[in-house]
Amino acid sequence: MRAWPILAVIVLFAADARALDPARAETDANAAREEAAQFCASPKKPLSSAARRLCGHAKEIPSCAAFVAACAESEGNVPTAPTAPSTPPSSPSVVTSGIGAVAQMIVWLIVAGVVALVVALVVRALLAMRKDDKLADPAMPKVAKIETATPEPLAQPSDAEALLARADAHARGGELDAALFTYLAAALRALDHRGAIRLSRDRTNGEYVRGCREDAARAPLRAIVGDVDRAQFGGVAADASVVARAKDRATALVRAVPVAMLAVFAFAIASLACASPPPPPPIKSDDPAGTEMFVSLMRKQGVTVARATSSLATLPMPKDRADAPTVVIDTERITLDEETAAHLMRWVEAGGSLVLAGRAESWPKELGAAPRAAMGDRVNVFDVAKPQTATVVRSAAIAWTHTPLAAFAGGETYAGMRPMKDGVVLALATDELLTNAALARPGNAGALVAILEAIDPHEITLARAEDAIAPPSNPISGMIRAGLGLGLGHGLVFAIVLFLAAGVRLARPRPTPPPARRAFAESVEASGALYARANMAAHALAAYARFIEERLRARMSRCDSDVTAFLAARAGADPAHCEELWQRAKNAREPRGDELALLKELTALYARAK
Amino acid sequence: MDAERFTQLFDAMKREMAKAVVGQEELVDGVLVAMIARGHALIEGAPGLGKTLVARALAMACGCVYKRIQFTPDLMPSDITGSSILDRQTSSFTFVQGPIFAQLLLADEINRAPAKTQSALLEAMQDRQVTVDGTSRPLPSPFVVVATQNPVESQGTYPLPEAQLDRFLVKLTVGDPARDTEQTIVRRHADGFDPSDLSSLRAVVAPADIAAMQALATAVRCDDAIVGYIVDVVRRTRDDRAIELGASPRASIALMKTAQVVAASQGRAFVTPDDVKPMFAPVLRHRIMLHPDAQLQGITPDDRIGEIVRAAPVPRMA
Repeated sequence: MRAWPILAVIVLFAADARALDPARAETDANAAREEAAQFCASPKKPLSSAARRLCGHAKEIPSCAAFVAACAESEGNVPTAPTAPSTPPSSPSVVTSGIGAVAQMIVWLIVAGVVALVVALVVRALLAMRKDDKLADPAMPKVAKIETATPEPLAQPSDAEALLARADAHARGGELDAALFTYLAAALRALDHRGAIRLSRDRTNGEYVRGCREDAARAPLRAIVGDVDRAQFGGVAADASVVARAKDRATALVRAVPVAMLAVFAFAIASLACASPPPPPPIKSDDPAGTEMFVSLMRKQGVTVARATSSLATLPMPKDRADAPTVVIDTERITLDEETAAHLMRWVEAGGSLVLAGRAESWPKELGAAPRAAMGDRVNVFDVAKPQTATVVRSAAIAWTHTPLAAFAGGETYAGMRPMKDGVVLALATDELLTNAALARPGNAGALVAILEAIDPHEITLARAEDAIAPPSNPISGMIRAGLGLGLGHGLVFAIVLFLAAGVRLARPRPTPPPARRAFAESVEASGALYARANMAAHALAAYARFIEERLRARMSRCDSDVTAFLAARAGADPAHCEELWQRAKNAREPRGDELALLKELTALYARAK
Repeated sequence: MDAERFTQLFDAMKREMAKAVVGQEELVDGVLVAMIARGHALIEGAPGLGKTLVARALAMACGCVYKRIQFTPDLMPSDITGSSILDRQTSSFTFVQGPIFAQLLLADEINRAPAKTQSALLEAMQDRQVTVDGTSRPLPSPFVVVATQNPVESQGTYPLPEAQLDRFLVKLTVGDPARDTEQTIVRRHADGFDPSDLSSLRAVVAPADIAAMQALATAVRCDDAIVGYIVDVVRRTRDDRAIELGASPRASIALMKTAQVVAASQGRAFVTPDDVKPMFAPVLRHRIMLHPDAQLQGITPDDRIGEIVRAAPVPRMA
């Protein structure tokens, strides 16, 4: 008698369409096991703790000897609790204690030194600020007024269509010249937007025409430009016919879509239409605790299964229940944060379907569920057509005050359902029935399908661990969530201290420094160029030679007197050549035409000698 | 003469010159614009690029009286202007006209003559008259000086003073031809073309036509916005840090005149910014003096003019 109201609820939610079929679930599960049988043939070793918990199913799965062997092997290697050491740890010696005390004292001294340094910096900065205030001329403004030349505004209309509308308004108002110019502006803007031209304030209209990359647009643009130039520079006022022609051409240019773009677009659409959907990737899993069989089983039952593509905290609110996917969350592997859990509840209330499998204590508090002990390993599913029974190895139940869907023999609820406004939550006490090992056991697939039939999913979104974390609302919260909050606080304090110590003073406005004086060598070179332009190249060469001589003599020792020998030695050049070059440069009086070459050679020698 | 006739004659001269000059369209256009704008042209380029050929082809195409002066270091002013000589029969001085009394004067390698001789051209180019022995003698009309110079050589040359440079309406530079163009030139010579014999060229216009074209060009409308654009760019040359001496107001006038001719050659009765922009470099490059620092950095006048033009907004309605 207890099952009748339950069945009524199930029928109420699953009345629309029954995609799931428990009758053929076993057949689908067998087929799925054939595909994902790797965990049976060669399970991943060593078995994970989750897989070890499923070893109870191993012997019941047909043709799964390797899994059985792996379970037996893992049972023999179960790590034992570490034994207590036979001898107690030696007590610290007096020397060690002394070293520790000294180290602690050194650390405190360092901390005190750093604090003293920071305080000294801050005090020094404050004193410097007061000194600056005293020295500052009260008549002088605190902030220098800087006059910057404002750039001439460049006409950059926001949108070609808006310009067309503005031109139409000008035309209707009788401002024909303005309308003509605005039509040109609209055409140019549209072409710029399409990349056919590049708007720039130094380009002429003719350059726009010649540089237009759209051949079809060049002729109408040239016609508009001709009319505009005639009106603007030719002193011929535009009449209504000219404006009407310009309007037609500008409208065609603004609203035309290049043929090439259309062709590319059509080709892309055709390619997409003709392309066949990619085949689903082969399902292979060597983990008995994996969910590959669940995915395969659901697909064979006609349900679309996909991974979540974004955080569960950003799931869009469904318009109605039929459009919303069913989100499946394994709460034994996925921990929901508060923000995500709250969003999921609102999402369910808006029409979403949520399947929670795992520890009840980690479910949203609004569900009012709690873990509960259970006896036995048989779970009976309340099904109208054919009662289903699942076999589990973990006897865990939930305290569920709402509609139960499956229960142990003692009446403890294993699976239940709770309608929440427009949506529904389906809860499973463990994630066992979602795993490969449990589903491979005969009878379990039919039971799971019968449970899920209550919400009749047509599309399942399988959540991953990272999907249960709400994205940070701002960079700071992201850093805090990443465990960098303390470092961020330290950095903030350090920045404030640094600003107080030095930044306050550095940030104060200062008078513009005088322009740096030109370097002496550069000045000599500029003077040389000036001499050359005045046909005084010989004089420039001689002056440069004197400059080099002065610099070299400053480096020579007191016992040296031969500049050319010093230059040749330092530059690694031929002394005779240096001597000839030096005499030619020093004694340059009349121009011979090779002064520049000599000067360059001398410069190279001097650069090597430096 | 109307605008259509102007365009026909302008194009006819270009076509006729193209029979002798391969490529160098910019140079041909510049020389024609300078002539119709009542100015003079200075052509600068390395030897062998066709500078002299362009001047001779222009003389043939426009049917003008053509004289050529080869400037040499020993050339005297009287060798250009002419001088009064004693006529033994009449025992009086008779003025013998120099080669400057021509409608198209080719001053070949003008920078090979000293400044004294170069200065003999100043009055002729500015006032179109020559004063010898206190008597001013007008030059024929039209009077156009096309001078050439070689920028590479420095030995035995005398750079033109700024006053002389300013007399030239445009300074045209000749660059190396493209490969195809050079191949065509060589092919034509292989086919028997003799650059010293331009008798195959015919005069497609008469001096009277040129005078009419000059009159029509001066009537081309130049809007205030265009004048403002010209003045803006010229004034920017005076404020540029890389330029020691900017262009003078004469440069602004020259820009306007050349733009008028360009507009007329396009069959238009008004000037647009498109007519002005290509003339900035030819008109301004010899009128600005770069700062020595800029020269040391390898900056050329064309570089600076390009930058200035790019910074100047083109007049357009907001």
